[in-house]
Amino acid sequence: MYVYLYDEFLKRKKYESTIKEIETRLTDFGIAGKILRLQKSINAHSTIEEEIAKGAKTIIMVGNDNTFGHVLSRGAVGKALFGFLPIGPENTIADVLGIPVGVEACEILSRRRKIPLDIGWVNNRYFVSQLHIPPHDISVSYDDMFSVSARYKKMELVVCNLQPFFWKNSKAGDYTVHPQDGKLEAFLRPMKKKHVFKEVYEEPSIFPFEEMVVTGKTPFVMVTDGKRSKEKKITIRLAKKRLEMIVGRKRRF
Amino acid sequence: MFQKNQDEETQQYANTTSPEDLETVVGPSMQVEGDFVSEGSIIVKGTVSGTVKTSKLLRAEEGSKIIANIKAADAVICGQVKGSVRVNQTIEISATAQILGDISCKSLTVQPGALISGKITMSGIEMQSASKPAKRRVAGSVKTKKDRSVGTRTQNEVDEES
Repeated sequence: MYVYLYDEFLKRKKYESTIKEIETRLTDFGIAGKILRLQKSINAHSTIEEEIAKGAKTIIMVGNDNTFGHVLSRGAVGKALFGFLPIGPENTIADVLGIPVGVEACEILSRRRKIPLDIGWVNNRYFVSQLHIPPHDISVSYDDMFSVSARYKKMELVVCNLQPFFWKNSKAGDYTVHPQDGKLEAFLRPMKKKHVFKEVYEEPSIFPFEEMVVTGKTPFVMVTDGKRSKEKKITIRLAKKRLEMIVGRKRRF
Repeated sequence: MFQKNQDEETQQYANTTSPEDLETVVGPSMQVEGDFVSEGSIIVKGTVSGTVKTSKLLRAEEGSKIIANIKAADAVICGQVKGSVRVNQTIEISATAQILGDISCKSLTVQPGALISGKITMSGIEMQSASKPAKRRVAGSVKTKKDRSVGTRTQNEVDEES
């Protein structure tokens, strides 16, 4: 049985025709199912658990990057096959998964090409695409083996999982970080100076890792899949092949 | 976030992807302490102390400082190293490099101007060392000096008997 989790923003009138077209196409493919509308107050995890208990085998998220992050940050613990039906702007993860935005995504879902995905785990919740800590006085230790600090006190940290990160540098060549390579990639960028309009950064350092501990002398802001929180100490781990997902042939990994 | 300067140095979601590109990079102001182990290549531009180990290439850029014993498949040294350097294949030491420690490798390239203080050991030498005892071939067999003295004494004993 298929369960479709519609994001709140899809209630808007401009998406009405797209939704109708998608629902018709899903019926044509014989993969139509139960529709649930997500709200900010609804806990995605308990909703997914409930539907799985009722017999749902495939959970499809309908929306954009925020929907994807919101559902999977808590819901990735459910033992079901996950799919994604991207609609509207802010859909970068769909491109990584090889899923076209809009009605064409129905065909990918009907083919059910499924692969296990590695996801990140930070302080009791999952993150799927990216974790970001804006410049702060932090210290980092990797895999219980080595620690990293910078001459300049403030450092910015980005941890990439599903979204690839491409760092273009004319002097040293180009670096591409790949999702789903069995490691998480951390980019550390010390802040050299802070002018009135612009912050000056040093070129980033890159560390692939499986476990990382970030500690701040004072609480620091952390943004995981678009969700902000304040933390003093975080442990980031890789949950290998935690999630089974329907992907397209043109995926980036 | 990095996207602020996207046009200058970063660009997400690139079309070109190849697993060979993944590397560990230690930036110029970064200090790494402990057992620094990586499965991929390592580029050091800052300071590393402890141990450094990689199954691929280690590249220590000009201005870098490594106070550690190094193990790598290949190495290119352009900065300062204090500690032993054990490389399985090739090591390239550039003009700006300063190495204080022993080096062992299979192939070595040193540019003029590089400073090295330590023992260099290269595998694959087949020459015999000169300190072995001299050998003399006698009637199809090899005898050492000790063997010859034993032979003389035996001849004297035979004369006395006769």
